[in-house]
Amino acid sequence: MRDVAIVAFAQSPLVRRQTDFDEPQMIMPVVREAYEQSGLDRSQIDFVCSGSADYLAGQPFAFIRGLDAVGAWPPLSESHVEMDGAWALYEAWMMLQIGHADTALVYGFGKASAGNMREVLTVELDPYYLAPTGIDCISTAGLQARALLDNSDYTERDMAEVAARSRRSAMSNDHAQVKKDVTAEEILAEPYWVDPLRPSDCPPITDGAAAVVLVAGDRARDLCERPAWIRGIDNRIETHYFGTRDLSKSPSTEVAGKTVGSGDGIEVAEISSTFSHQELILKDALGLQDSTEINPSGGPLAANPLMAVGLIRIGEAFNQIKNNGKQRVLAHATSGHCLQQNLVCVLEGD
Amino acid sequence: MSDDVKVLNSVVSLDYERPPTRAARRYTEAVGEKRLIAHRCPECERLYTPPKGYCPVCVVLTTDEHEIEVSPEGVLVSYTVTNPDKLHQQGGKTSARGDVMLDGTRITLMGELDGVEAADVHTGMRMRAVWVELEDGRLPSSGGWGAVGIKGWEPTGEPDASREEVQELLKKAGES
Amino acid sequence: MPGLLREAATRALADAELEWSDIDAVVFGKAPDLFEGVMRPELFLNDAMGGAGKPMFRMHTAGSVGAHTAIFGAHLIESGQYECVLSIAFEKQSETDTSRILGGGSRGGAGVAFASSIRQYIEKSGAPPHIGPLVAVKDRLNALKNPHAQLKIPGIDIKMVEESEMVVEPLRKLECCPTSDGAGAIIFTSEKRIPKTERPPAWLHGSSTRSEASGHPSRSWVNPLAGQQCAAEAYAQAGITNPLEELDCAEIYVPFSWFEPMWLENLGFAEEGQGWKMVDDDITAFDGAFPVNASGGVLSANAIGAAGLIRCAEAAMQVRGTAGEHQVPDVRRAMGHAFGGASQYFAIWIVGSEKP
Ligand SMILES: [Zn+2]
Repeated sequence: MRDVAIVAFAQSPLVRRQTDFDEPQMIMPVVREAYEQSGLDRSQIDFVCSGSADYLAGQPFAFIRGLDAVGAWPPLSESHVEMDGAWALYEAWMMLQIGHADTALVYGFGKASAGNMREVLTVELDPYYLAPTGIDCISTAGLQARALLDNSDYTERDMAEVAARSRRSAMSNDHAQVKKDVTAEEILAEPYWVDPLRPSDCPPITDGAAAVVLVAGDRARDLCERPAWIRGIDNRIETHYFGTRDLSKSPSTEVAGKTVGSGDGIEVAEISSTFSHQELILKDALGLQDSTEINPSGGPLAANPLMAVGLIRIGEAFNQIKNNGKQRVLAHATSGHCLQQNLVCVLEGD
Repeated sequence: MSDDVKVLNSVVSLDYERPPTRAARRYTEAVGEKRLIAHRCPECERLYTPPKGYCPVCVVLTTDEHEIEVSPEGVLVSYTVTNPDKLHQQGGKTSARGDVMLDGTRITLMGELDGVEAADVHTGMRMRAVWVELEDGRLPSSGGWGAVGIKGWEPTGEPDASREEVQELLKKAGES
Repeated sequence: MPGLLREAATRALADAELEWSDIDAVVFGKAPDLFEGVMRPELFLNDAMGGAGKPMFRMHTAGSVGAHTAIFGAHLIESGQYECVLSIAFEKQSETDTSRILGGGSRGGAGVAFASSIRQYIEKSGAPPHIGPLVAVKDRLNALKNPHAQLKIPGIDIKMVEESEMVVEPLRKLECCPTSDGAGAIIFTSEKRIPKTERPPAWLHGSSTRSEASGHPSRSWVNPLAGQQCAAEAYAQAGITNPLEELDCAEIYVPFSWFEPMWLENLGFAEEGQGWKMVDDDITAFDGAFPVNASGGVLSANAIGAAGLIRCAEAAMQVRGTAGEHQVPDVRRAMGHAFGGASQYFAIWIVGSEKP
């Protein structure tokens, strides 16, 4: 495996509704900041890969405008995944692995505010058997939370603790959207929204973008004082149908985690637990110890820009190495309802 | 089984709301006054209309201070005659659409060609914008491939640009 | 949708004499999700693709996505991390009204945008008007030899094309691709896992992807720089200096007849402004010196998301000698090509019968 490191990470303000800027305008400052941080200019980037979803914008080919934001002139060696930017990072990492590139820019973006996400994400379900039921993403998460509570020792208090801690952690994250000095008791006092989920168990709706620069080999050390080396990255998908899954577990996360060594000495984990109960499921699937700090950024419960949120987890994990002196950290991204697909990545400092 | 199921009709209807950017709002206001505005990139001086609020070549944001007025007239550099009925679409009449390169710019804007029979359309014609009428200060929703705020193009009646002049324009547009 | 994918994947597995359990990872591609009205349909189609428990990737690079899907599958093998990968792509345009999604009602759809660049090509190159119909006839005659082609028009000739109705000037109906349902699947293995079948593998000699922004005023739709650079990189990887001499045939994404001469120039098979002469001289005909789209090409079936992957697969079939009735004799190296967006996304691969 070729040594590849993250040397730069930038993110936009993560907000409920970005009214000033359209997508290219939202991405552009982020990309510029990532270039500047890396010390590379556009002409020194060998490969560009992005993640986004047409259905967030409600337009076919919505991702094409992303090209406007990265300076795709002269033309770029480039690709796009209809997934979170974390998978774009995987593709870019692969280009560096095979030596077709030595540097890469990865970005992810989404303006969830344009549509009604509870309706839009229903269209992500099987169009023959599930979508016609009209079930929305909060309700499918509710099914999963119920399955967890009924099949484990976890309680609603455990969920509330996750929700409260995430909002408190977000207070020290300049980019976070929902930050609040809140306790589990206060959250437990909220009425149910979609039983057993309370409003605070659920993520906000967020507009935002993020970008990461990858560099192969020793050059990473020249460009970044403490680069974060990608020691393992894997992703796995499960069957789509809720009826054939044990929703209280995440076997795809477990397999991906084992492949990259997730249980072993992780100091900080930035995970895409979009709902509070998912942190409990993911922590077990990844085999994280109690000593592992989870989502010091606040995680998706503090800001959830779809198609960028997973890449932001990787970026936040990188920041833990770069800025906080951590040595071994983990990032996780997810796709689909109820953690259907999961990507796990382990980063290490020098 | 009585009748075989041949089609499951499932209509997906989703509403989206995309607020216009500042550049788009100012462009719309200008169109209301029958003016065409563009942004000039501070780095490469390329012109963009409608203004995007950025230059995709230089990766810089542009704002009001980069706004300039451009001519709503130009030369027809390419065209096509469409027959929408044959594309299984709504509407119906045969129409011509063309690319007009605005005077003094390398910008081509596409639009329907008005005031000229489809059979008489030819490259090199000098054209001017036919403005969309605002409805309550707003542009009617357009969608599709044309320029916002411009319904199309009509001949100015001035003499045509020669074939050489059109090729020169296209060549200039293809540079850099 | 699941059935389409299942059928393609099952046939690919049978061709390779492999089982579902041999597949380590799945790369899936399709063009806009709005075409089928399902957001990220790979999530539900995953079961039909045998993806459960495996790594899965979803590509979307507009019309070029099928070729991207093939190329990324090959990259996974090249990295040494995977031994056997399924790249699979589809489009089921009959699920919705795609020209409405693309064109937004009565404004004419994708053909209008492309017809305009075709007009520019004709003006610039001085190509005579029969070139487009000539391509249309050639590809449709080739399609008669391809059991998978959708449009089969026995006895098609120039006159029939020239008498078909004008859809988007200068394109007549028979010069346009159909709307299609379809899927394609390719299986990649590492060298040590090449299945022992009677059918030899195709070897990847080079691949490249290039994209350019649509939003700046000075780009060319007729001879896009991204396409030129994409070809140049693929040739460099394959050690090719004279593509017309060193390649034996090509499968090029030609959704409208005139794109053949345009892309012959863009890909370096002809000098700028000269591509139409290759068509006129029958060089790209099935029995010509450099057959283009022996399968009948996109003009004979355009399941958009799958079409690029099928171009790549057809190139591979030619070098494997498994193209059946539309097999070009003695193909050693062939190109698969796709483009997308406003002629701004390009993906190319070059495959050969010999290990590079
Ligand atoms: Zn500029």
